[in-house]
Amino acid sequence: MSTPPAGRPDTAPAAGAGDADVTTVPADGVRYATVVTAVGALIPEFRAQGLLVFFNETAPEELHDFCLLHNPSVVHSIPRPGDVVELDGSPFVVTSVGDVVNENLIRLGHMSLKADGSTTAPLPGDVCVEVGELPELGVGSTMRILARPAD
Amino acid sequence: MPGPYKKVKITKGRGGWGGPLTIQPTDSRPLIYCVTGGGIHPVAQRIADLTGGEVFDGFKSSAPFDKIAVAVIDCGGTARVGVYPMKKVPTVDIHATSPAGPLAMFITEDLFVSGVKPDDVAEA
Repeated sequence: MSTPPAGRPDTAPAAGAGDADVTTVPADGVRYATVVTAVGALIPEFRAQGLLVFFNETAPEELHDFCLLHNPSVVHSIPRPGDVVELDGSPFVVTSVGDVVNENLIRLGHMSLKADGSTTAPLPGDVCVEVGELPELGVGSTMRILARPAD
Repeated sequence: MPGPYKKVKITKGRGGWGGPLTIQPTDSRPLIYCVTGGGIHPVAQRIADLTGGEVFDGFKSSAPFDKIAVAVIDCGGTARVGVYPMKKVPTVDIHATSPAGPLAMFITEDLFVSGVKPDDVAEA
């Protein structure tokens, strides 16, 4: 097979990156930390419906309108119910996590964050959090996933 | 080696929705556009092998919608699941999703099939 055309860096994680034991709690409690680098045109409309779609910068261009692009500094593990997703410092408690969030978030920086309070994720790519108004995020905004402190 | 291209029929898998889709690449739409994490998915590879289409990794570079014969995605339900149908690109989801999310209105049986495994792709 020929070399794919250059266009964006190949940022696929090193082999084994998706195999980490995601149930481990990181020492500092930070499972994931990232900074928003671009806000898609449709994000305000999605936010009004209680939805934010995150994707790292490898997202194909045709998805950019639908996504908050971001550049993660910590990629440790995905959330579990009871953890907190923090948007510019505002905490939202996680209520459910879909089945494909692991491969999506670790490999692609991708998740659909829904503030619907579902205790069963309606779609496999969803991370559901408590009902609340999601903040308006801009370039430079932060998103962190924090493990619930040990009981 | 471009063309002649063959047809395949892609049927929904267990728990899946939509389709079946009949896909035949052409000289102007030759690409089997794979937008799945972790390289070319076996479903995309099988469609390419059977049709003679050209596999293309959407995470490595971008292709215009009008070059795409079929998009293969592993979407968990919100973004990728709607983008390609919205542009009238036939779309195959590896995951068994049904229309949902803000783009649900674009996801129709004639453009979308889900829950697809390599065995659900057959010569037509």
